[in-house]
Amino acid sequence: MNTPITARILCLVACVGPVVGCSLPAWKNQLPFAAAHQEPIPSPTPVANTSQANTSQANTSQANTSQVNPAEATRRAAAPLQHASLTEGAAYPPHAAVQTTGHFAPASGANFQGYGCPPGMNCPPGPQGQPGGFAGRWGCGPAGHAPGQGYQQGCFGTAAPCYPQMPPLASFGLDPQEFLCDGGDQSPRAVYTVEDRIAGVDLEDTVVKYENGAGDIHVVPSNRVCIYAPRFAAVRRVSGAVTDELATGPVAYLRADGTSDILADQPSSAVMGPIGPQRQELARGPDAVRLRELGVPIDRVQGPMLAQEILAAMVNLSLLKDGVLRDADKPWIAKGADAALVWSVGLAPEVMASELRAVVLSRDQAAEGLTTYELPNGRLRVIKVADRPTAAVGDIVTFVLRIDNLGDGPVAKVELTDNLTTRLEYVAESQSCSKGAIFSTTDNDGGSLRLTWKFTDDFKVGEGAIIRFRCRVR
Amino acid sequence: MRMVTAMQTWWRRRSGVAVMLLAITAQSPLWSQQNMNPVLAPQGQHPLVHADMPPGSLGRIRGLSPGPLQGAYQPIEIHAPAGVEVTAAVPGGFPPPVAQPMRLAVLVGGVYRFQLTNLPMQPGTELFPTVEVIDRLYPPPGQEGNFPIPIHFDALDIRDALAGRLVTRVVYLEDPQTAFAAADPPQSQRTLDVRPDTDPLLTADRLGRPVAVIRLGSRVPPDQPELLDGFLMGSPPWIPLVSAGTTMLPPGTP
Repeated sequence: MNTPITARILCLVACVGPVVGCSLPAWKNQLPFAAAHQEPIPSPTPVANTSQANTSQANTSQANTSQVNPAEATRRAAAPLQHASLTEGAAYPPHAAVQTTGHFAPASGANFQGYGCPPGMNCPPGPQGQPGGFAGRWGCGPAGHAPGQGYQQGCFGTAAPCYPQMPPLASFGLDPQEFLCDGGDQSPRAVYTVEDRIAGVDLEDTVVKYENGAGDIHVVPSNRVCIYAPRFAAVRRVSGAVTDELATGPVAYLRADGTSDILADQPSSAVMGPIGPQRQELARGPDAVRLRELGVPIDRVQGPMLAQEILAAMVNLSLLKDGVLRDADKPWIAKGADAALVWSVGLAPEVMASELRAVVLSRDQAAEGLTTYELPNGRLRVIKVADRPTAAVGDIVTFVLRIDNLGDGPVAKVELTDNLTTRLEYVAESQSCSKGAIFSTTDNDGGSLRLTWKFTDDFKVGEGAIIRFRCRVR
Repeated sequence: MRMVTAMQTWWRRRSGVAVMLLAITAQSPLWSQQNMNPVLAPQGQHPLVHADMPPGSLGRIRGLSPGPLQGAYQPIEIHAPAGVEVTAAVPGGFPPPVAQPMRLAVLVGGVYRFQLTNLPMQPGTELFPTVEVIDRLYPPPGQEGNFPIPIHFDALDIRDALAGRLVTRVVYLEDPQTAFAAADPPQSQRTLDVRPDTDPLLTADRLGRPVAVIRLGSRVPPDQPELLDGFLMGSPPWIPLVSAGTTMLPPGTP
């Protein structure tokens, strides 16, 4: 009853009315059951531009997905069989490592159009002489500052001077070294070899291997989760008290007394001329620093914005709850891929019960006939989220992996591998799996562990599993 | 004839190699990508920037580079051995010390003079190190104050400084791909000691992204009051931040 095959058969054979509506996109969003169990592939309905882009990626990724039959593997013994590909690119772009966390929010006081200089006022030129200032973004300074520092006019009709506003450039692309990532499949791609093992699982990689009903073996990566967790170290040098000197000439020469002294080298001592005072003049540059006293007061942006509390309601996401991706949830899933999504375990069962009550199709089961087709094309999807967007050294991060069979047939021999990166330390005995699996760990090259779940049972159509484990940030 | 000389610095993040660019243009006052030369040439040439440059030079060069560095405040957190009192300079002197770890926001490129008092086994002795933040972090919005750059004055540094030596410590952001697989306690910082003839800035740049330079020596405040402002490096402004260990803010802070 809970399989999509049943629903589709009801639609195709019985034609019992528009309630099921499995093939009509207009009805999909109206029927929770149909949307939940008949649309494993995200709908191409152009809800937003993002969904359109994702839909195209899904088609591309599907086209790139290749299948290899183990029977043909012997002919390819020297080559890897299956490159990791992404079957659900609509929800998880294969190389979109992390969605941007930062956004250009209007600066405080800069409620005029965009970030340009307010109309009718003389904003100071930019650091490079460009009109409009640094990056074209200006805002008003703190209230109470008189505009007497060379500015002819107040900012936006106020008495405050015009200050350059620093945009919250917190996007991942600015410096990936500040982020700690896990998941996905970095190059070289993970492959399944004829030795019945998965090769190419590098640090940070998370892939799942499975075999569908046709005997094809696939290797599918998860999405990538990044946590903001910079770590620092230092390089230390101890030098003598006398520094900043330059060798200007020899001190003296040793006069040779005979041929026996020919092997004696001249002393290497030299006259040292201090050059410190000249450099000291260069160091007198605090005046320039004063001119840079134009930044955003950091206390303004230091509000207690705890993403964990704000986004706690995101447990209602159908993707995490029952493995169904809806268009309305895509922006939140994008944030979850950036670790800004919070997984609240305790609330999940309650919401799940309330959602499932919409599955009331008993009257439509009075079909004249029911034909079951066994389709061999099972397909797995792996989702990975973290419970926090940022972490300091020593913090515990909980990762959640959701595996779903979105295909038309069962899959077997499912093996999930998560190769933890160097700075993630697996907390012993912290993993849990909602489906029967054999869990094992092995050391990896990064001084961490490689986690492996070998599922003992097959994944039927529409069946999924949830894996949780915790890691300590080193 | 217009002659504009511009120096530009940025850091190659993926490879961990810092590059400073020198642009000399005769026609345009804007930055010219095509006239920029790398500083840290791989052929063993002398780099144009190094840790031996006087305090303020690195920050000044970094300030000329494009990007959101000019006027940007970067939180730092000062760590010192137990019992050592730390305070940052304000115009005219030093305010009373605060509890550790001291957390404050400083300008990128500015040189800040600190005062270390109540040194262990050294009653009445004071040290006056400088901290120069040469780069910043880009945390998610709302998290700017939660990820400061840790500045450590450990006991070994203090011992060497009291012995008349100059300790140059370059703090860098680790590359997570090559990070050491062990956690550091927050009271200490993993430190790589290099030879006196090795540039710690160059070494740190190969390991990650340098963000701060700490110089700890035996220099003391001048006797002449007119030289005090130069000793305090102009006392650039800083903003006190409340951290877990801070109970009160220093009076007279800007």
